[in-house]
Amino acid sequence: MALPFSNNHNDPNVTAFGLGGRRRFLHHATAGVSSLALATMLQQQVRSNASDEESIPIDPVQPLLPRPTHFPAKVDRMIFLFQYGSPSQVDTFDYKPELQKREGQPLPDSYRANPKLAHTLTYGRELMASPFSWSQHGTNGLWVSELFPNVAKHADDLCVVRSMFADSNNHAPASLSMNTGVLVEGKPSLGSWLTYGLGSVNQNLPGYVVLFNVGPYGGPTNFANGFLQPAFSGIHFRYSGPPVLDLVPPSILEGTQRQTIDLVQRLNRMHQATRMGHPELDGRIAAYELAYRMQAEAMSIGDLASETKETQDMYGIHEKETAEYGRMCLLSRRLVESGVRVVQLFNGVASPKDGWDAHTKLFENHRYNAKRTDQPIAALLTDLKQRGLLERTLVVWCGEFGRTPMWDSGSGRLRSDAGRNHNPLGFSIWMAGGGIQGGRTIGSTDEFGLFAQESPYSVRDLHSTILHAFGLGSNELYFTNSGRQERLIGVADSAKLISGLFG
Amino acid sequence: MSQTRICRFLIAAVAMLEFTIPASGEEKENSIRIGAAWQDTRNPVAKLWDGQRLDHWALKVPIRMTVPSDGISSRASTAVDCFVQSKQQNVGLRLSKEADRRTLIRRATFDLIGLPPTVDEMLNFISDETSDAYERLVDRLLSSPQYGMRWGRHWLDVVRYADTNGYERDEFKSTMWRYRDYVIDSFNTDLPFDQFVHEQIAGDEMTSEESTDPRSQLRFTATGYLRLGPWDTTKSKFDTEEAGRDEILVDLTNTTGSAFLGQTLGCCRCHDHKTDPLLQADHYRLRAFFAGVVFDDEKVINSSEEEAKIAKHNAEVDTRLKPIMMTYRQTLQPGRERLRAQTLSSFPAEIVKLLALPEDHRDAATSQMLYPYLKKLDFYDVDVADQLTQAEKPAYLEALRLVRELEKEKRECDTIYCVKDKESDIPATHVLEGGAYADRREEVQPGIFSVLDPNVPEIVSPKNSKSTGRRTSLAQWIASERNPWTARVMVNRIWQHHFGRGIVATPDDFGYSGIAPSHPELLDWLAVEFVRSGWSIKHVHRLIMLSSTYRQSSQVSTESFAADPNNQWLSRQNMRRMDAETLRDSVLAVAGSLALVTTGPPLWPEVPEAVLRAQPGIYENAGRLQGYYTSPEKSTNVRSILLVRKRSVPMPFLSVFNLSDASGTCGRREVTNNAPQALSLLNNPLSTRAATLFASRLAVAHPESFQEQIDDAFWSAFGREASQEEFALLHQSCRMIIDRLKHRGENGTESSNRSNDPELDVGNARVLENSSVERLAFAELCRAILNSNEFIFIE
Repeated sequence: MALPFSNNHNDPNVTAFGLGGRRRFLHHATAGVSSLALATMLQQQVRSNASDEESIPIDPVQPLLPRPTHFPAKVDRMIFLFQYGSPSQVDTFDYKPELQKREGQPLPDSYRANPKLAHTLTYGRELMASPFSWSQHGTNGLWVSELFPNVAKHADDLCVVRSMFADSNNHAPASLSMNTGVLVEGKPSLGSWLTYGLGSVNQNLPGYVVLFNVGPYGGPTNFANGFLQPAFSGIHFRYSGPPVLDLVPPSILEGTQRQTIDLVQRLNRMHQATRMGHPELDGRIAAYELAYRMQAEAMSIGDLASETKETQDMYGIHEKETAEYGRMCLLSRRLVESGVRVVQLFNGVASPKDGWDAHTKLFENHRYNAKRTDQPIAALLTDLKQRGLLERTLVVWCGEFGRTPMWDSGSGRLRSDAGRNHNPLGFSIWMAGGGIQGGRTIGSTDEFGLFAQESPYSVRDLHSTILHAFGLGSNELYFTNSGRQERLIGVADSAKLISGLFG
Repeated sequence: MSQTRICRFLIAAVAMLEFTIPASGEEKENSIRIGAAWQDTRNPVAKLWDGQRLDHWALKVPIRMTVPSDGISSRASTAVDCFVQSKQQNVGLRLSKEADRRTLIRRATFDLIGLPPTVDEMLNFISDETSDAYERLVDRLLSSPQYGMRWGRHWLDVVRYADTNGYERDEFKSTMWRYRDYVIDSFNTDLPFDQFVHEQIAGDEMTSEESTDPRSQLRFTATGYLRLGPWDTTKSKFDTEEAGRDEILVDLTNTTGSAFLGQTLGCCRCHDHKTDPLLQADHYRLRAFFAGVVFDDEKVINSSEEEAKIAKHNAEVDTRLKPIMMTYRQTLQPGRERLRAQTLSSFPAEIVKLLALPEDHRDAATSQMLYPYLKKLDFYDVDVADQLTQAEKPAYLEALRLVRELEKEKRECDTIYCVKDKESDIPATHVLEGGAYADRREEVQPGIFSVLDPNVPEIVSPKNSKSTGRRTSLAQWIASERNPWTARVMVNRIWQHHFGRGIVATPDDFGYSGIAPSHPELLDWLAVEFVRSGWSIKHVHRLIMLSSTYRQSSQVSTESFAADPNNQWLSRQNMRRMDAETLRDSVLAVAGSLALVTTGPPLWPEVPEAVLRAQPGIYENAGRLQGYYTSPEKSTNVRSILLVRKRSVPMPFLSVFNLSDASGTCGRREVTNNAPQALSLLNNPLSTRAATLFASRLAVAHPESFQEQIDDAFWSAFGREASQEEFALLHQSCRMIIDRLKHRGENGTESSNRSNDPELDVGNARVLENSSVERLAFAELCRAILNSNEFIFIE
């Protein structure tokens, strides 16, 4: 037998691998799935136990197919701007005139006696006024500090919830809680629950994408699928180069991917010809076609150069300080525009790696982090609005907890060194888009910004509210895992909605 | 042997309450026995479910079932077949014909050792016409050291094994692998399962301090089971140790419930169980057995003579080190003074004044205030060294070199991660309202599930007099033939890995919300047989694998598909996709690059920087073992069980193929087939590299013949030769790919927006760099073969 390396055969069948052939082949593959496989899939959903039946049935070949909501939704996608390390509420969105007045004075004893405070960190004694100046913005005069001059221009879009509280004063557990609902590892993240519940619009892209340079405290468990299937895991997109791991073969094999996949599929078809009744074979054949389409689409979505110069500049992707977060924000707009259900940004950077965690040098730290993010976030809101996407997109800005109005006793007492400690007892977040009534605040903290006071809301309340905006009931959305009904909010009925958010 | 030692309290309870349900005829044959504690109306569990759910099948101790004989056909060759056929009769199904030889050896080899058979092994088996060829095959595989690698991996899923702590820091537990090796070794030596259970729960209590039993060190290692759970080491930093302690106890209680007993104790942590007859108090009664547990992270396992020898050696080194250390410190002194002066100048004047006071003149408040400043004056040597002048540096560097050299001469003892009980002051265990650790309700004593025995058991005195004996009592109850769950749960796990689905399809849940057994009599027969054999796991493998049920073909006939699409009644074998580790190991094996080393510290596979960056702790402090310590690429071509399992960075390739999550018991992995998997198997450097090595291996073996290369490739990957049609297809594809490669870049549609990306191209198929177009094209054929359904599915 001659080696095929000698080019003396000119078999006309070769052209059967061309586009026309492939289309025919694809048609065949799809037909195969719909008849035989789907019949079996339906059968597979019949489980011998009642509670399992109620978990949402997932198409094994296309797990991201859109699924109905429980009730009409206000939004169908979300950009979650997670501020890891935790920004200080009293230096950003929770203006406290009393704190500004009492700089250097001890925290009153009545506060110190609160057992919640006693149980948590050793705080410094003295109050520390915010070193930033404050002003009011928008029609309702929303207070925003000088850290966010550009975001402040969107005051009429923002609803600030000033009365959040968290369940832990430690980064990793609190971060896991904000992202997965519980303090311990191993549970599915909010984004995973949403894609499990709703699928996604675009079948060629992941339903849940995460963007970061350095990930959050606690690592990838923050955006993992837990006991839900891997299709619902947060997929890390990078904002330069091929966006996804293993998206393309090593460059040396470039250019032959289509031929190789065609060969895989031909081998699979021959193999399958004598093996009927195995839907998993169809499943894998379909997965290879989807992978090929995903490859093309993901490559093009990462191509920020295709945006206009004006757009690029608006996000600040050519400025040193805003380039990184700007690219992430621009990419997140491209992703939601293409039908990705949830995009989550973690603001971490290699240096300082602690994000907003200003135990010392609050002034420098917050200046730096705000400078990096303010313009890109404002650009994102502007861009979403211009494109009519903001109406159906929920934008959430929050950290894992807040910071104390007292200075951190470990930070030293030089003004330039001073920082603030973790404060899970009261902090601010904001939301925009998706029919949220902007220019408003919900709830409040005490006169110094330490405790959530009026209308306190837990992380579970926030999750429940987000699910609600997507048309999902937080009790109704569950997955039966090892005999146990698991929910994002934990035990049923353990969360309430943040009231008044949607007017 | 410990299976005959039944916890005294249980004997008492059973003796008192044992009864036989009056039955007649066949029912009598299947009569059931149970410690009927639930019939006692004083038992608080009787209030649950109005007594309705108390006689669940799984609560009854399995008894030996009669093997059915009515209407059993000649296809039945073992007891297992008789049980299966008797169910099939009811629905008009039959066993399929036996699978052909090549399918059988592929199936048995993957099942028992998790690797493909070699071409020689296949050819030998196919041509072996002796009547016991298959039996000998099974025995050969069971005695392979690779067997423990495969079945040890299944067990590691059950006990949530990982090499790191998890959470923010996710530190590497550098000797946790000794537990992993203990597991592999236990499977290889067929350690009786009751002993295996006992050692993991209470191995430390089984040995007295003076014991010279060679097993005693292994028993300590076995308690690594209790040290495996996720653990947040920053808890102490944030005054939340109490919460951390609670999390550890929750983990131990829930894992022990699901791993050994198939009971969902996590469900009754906050309230009475929603579906099973388990009280909230039962969670805490079980938890109380672990109340004394403390971590013992550096336990030395060398013999005392060895330890003394090492200590003596190190003392000698220290004697020589002492003068050198003095010199070393002196060389740093000028830098230290400069740095101190500099640092002091940044402190407020009052602080400097206070610091000048002698230490014994400081009151508590002053000391507290000075603490952060003193911390800043506690310099690292490297920072001090930065202050040295060019003239001062050489002396310091030379001293440093000498210190390092001597330090290297020191020897370390072998240590393990394990647990022990506190010697005194065992904290009381309380029921916690809503599971919240600070919200204590009534105190409880250690106790088993109330539905079996609501009383407080007597705690036995362990051999290790420093321990409480609580865990020994628990272990004796779990590893007992009278425990209704233990044997059933384990034989079900074994069955599941031979058929893809357990007799109970929810292997970690044998309660009401679990799925009822498809073949309850078979399950009980196997469980009793398991115990009777001395809890031999290999015996159960033989029982299953020698049956015609196991050996039948996976071909689906129209009628069996129509009657039983899910194959609940086993009228055919199931086709199964390789699990993550089997896939990776097999890709390497077929490429010829898998190194079959059997033991030792974990290896760290190369992972793209982009993946590592998801875990910020990695960049924080390498000294605390938080980093990622990549091993040389070649050394990582070992079986996946030997790769490090870092909780925060699961290896991407494995993770996309449904790797277990190490946060809790995972008795059954989901199997999905999706596009990200296709991308991984197509593009991950692991497979592109393997495809290339595979191609090179074939080129070297058959330099002259394309056909021979293809034949070898098919035999290696599929266990058969290529058909004429397939050969023609590969031939054509090869030519087309060569054509593409020669003309690429000319209208490069596929590569238009690809930037140079060293970061994601880990290993950038380095082996490919100097390959000819022909070699590359053949590598592409190999890549296609490794991606095909026939390779990844086991029939």
